[in-house]
Amino acid sequence: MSGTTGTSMTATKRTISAIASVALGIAVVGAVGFTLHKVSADPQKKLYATTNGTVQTSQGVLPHQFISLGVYADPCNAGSHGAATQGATNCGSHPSWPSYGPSTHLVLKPHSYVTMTLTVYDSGENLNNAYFGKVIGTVDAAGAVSNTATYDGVAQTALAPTDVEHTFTLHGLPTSTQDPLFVNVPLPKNTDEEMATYNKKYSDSYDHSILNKGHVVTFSFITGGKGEYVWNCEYPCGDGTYQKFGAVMGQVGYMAGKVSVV
Amino acid sequence: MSSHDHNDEESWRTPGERFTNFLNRKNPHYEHDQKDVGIAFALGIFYTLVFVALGAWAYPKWMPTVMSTDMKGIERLMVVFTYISAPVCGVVLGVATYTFMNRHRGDTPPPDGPMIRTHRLTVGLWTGISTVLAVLAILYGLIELNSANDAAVADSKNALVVNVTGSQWVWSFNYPAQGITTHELMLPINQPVQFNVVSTDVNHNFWPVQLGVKTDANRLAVTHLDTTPTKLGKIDVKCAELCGLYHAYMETNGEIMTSADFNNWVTAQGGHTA
Repeated sequence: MSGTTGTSMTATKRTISAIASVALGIAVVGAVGFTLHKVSADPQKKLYATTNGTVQTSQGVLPHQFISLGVYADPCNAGSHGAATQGATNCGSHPSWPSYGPSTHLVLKPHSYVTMTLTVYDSGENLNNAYFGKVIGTVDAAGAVSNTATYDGVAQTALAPTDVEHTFTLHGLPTSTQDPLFVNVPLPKNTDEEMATYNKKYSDSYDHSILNKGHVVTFSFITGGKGEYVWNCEYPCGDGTYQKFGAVMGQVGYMAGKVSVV
Repeated sequence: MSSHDHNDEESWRTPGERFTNFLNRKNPHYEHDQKDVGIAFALGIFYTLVFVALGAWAYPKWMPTVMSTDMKGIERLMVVFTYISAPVCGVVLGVATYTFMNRHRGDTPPPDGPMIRTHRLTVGLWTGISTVLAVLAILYGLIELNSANDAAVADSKNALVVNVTGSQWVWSFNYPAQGITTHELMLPINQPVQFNVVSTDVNHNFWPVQLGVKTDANRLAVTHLDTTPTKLGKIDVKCAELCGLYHAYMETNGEIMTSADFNNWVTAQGGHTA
């Protein structure tokens, strides 16, 4: 075999090696991307607000959207945490963690008047930042900023830091393409007696409706243009790590989620 | 030596070897090496000028808007540091570029050329110049840091106090003299401001970008920052320390406004002005 053939073989090997290396690189990057995408995917189905009528506000006539969530001392009644492990409900892999439900990914329409109803069923301790005991960013029936929420039918602007169970705190990145949106509503705790009563009735019957007899909090806010926001609980309801911001507070799907305005 | 022999010899001599021989003037092809070194240094000077130009033009363009005395100092510091490091980076890049252009091609690599550390003049110059540049950078940085501290001490006597609290994953700002707390940072122009920064949970890092100051927010210790806003406009407040799930969302708005607008804003928030 001549030297020319040997050189040609070397060039072929080099070409094949280069192509194989690039292909391998693409495969590795693709696998990493696919894995990250899978891991970061929404743990639950999206919860869409329903539209019913319009509201005359200072910003014009806006579609009136409604959305309801529950906050529970455990995820069994939240309904979106995996296989049934307790009381014939879906408790998921962390049955002792508090959770919002039935979903933590909310979908709202842009430029709409949103009324949110939260049924809250949990005990509480103290907020570690009293600021989140205030109602912030909500509007009245005319769309004017009121910083007020209705607690079991009574309008209030704040809760004492010692009376808070969880918070619904909605915020987003300040960008040039997304309208700012900040809403904070503290949620009232249930007393130990109430919790004991509810738990007794529930353990006797596994009747989920018992768990819905906590406090009912209603408030409204107005969305801007399209955007992606997040919400989380500012009440330290995690385990003992990170000042009770560990465990459940560090995962999407329990006390934190997304709000897509689309 | 025939032309063919000369080319063969040149083909395996590395640029490093040619440079060494040039310095020691022992190379029979001294003129060739003179050309090599000349081109490499010409490239070095070219890169140096590019970096100097980038330092003078790019930093003011690319860095956040200067909206405080501290940010002005930081911008100046970055420009000066770029000037100081430009010759080192330029010469290294020039030699690297010319070496790459004259790299060996083929399967059998030639032996490494001799190291140039034995050439005392070159090593001395390289070490000396680098040392002088490094010392200049240290001195200038210390002077700039000290001037910022002096200004902070002077400003703190009549500063607007803002207590900054980082909570996963929202900032809150308490104005004790005005009696209000908000999630947006509003400041009056040309009024010294003192930030007392703390966290309620994990460590955060308070960074009002356009003001050019930044400090840790710890749970058990209050850290302090002083600055004076000097330009009207929007500012971004970010967390600069990875703090958990929604760290990337721990940002908020802010604005530097006139004193009158600031007072109006305080009143609208339910606070009281001085």
